[in-house]
Amino acid sequence: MRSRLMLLVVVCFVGMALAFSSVVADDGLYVRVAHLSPMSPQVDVFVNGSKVFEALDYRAVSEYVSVPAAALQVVVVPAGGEIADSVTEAPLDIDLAAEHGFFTLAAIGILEDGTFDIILLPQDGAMMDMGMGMGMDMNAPMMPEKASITVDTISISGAYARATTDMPMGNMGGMAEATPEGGMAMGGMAEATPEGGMAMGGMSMNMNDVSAAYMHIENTADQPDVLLSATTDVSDDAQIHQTTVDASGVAKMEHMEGGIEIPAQGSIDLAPGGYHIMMMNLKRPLAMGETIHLTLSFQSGVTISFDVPVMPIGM
Amino acid sequence: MLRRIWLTVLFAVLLTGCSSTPAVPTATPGIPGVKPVSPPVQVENFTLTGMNGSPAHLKDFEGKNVLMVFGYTHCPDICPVTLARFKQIKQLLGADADKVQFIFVSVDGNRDTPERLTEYLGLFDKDFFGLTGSEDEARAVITLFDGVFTIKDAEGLRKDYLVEHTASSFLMDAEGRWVRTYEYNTDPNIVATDMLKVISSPSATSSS
Repeated sequence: MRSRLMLLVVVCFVGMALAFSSVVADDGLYVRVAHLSPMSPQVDVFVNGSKVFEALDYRAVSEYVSVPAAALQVVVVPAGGEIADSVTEAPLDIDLAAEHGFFTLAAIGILEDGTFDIILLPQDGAMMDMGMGMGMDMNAPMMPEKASITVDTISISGAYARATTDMPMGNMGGMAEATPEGGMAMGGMAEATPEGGMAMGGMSMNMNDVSAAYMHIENTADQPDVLLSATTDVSDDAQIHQTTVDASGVAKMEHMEGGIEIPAQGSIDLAPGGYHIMMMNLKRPLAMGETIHLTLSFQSGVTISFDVPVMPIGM
Repeated sequence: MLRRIWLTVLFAVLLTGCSSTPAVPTATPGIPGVKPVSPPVQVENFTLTGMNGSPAHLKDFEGKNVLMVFGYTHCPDICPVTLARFKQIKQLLGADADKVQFIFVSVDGNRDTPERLTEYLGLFDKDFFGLTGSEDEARAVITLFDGVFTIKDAEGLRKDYLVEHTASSFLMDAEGRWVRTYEYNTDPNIVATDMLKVISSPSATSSS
């Protein structure tokens, strides 16, 4: 009984997740995986022979990834496993039966009693047509893809920074152009008239001067490594922090002055409510759709410089 | 074939499970992240400064359920997550959302002016209400919920100081009684489900 209720809650949750995903016309085929199999471990998912989803926890829903063809051969393995460690006897064949669109694969059932399966949910866009859109904004810009990069023994995935304005970058440009003083330089416009400044004001109004960057970092070396420091082009004041919430519910932040250790052949997560790269005194607002530049230095000597997309603040 | 059946079942569940009166079990004590306040505590009226700069009183929200959290706009990690969850909770409440006022109380009145609070909360939802006040005023209010905060700026020298603060959210029913504490990372689905129970039968909360 309890597990049925749990399933109900979970399915409801996924339903919401589906409804909120922004779906726009696109030529590609995209899939994501929802891990809805209770009592199953963290899993990796191989699609057509390559590992495309890593370390999905129960109830986690992955990002969309692009797939080349509609015929998918899906293999689920315990996190860190190889194809041979498949939790099912044979790979699961899924046919998306479409040339483009966004799809969700749900891992359901229980491994131990043999009910484990992967099912294809109705095409995400189709959910909308069936009246389940729940206020979805068709014009919503597509979510940027999170950044991944590997340098030597360090692999970073799922990297993003949080926006400090609710306006997508495109809209900000559009606003500046839309003003009567269209031809004027933006700086001049802000100084020129209070009216002209309103458009600019609209931009800076929704500004917050602090943000955070999050990611998954994997260390493939046989020795532990340490993430020592971070620098970015948008702040002179980037620090590695950890949020902890104590038993009485009090959130505390600690500056990790010695960095964060990443175990040999292990990984760490920088995620909301835990480790994060804190960026204070931002030089400009961060808008969804743009990227910031981040440089991470590790004790092993590895330095990684890469671009990180800015995701909506409401995430 | 089997897959198709699953899909149908799943779909049926989706349709019923997400309607505005969720077919979710009547909550039993011991839901992780949900702490019933038993017996409920009548919260005494307090006055802080609202987003328009005028005094705002708890009493102003009488007749509405209030979901309240303490934080500050320079909070880099926890507060944006909490407010994003508030937004999700509001969506999950559906038609009942208008029976709830979401309130963010600043524990950093020094930097959180009414204007700044308006800008910040506007990033999440224009209906969220912000309250700010002096350190003493904020402390008096957070104490009503057994919460605490500490401004990490002992010398008063930094402008980018951090504030440690209670991150749980507090639910007051329409009669102004504190009935629930939700831990900061409680799943919005669990919170919304539990809130619907409080909204639909306020008297039930006294016995749970």
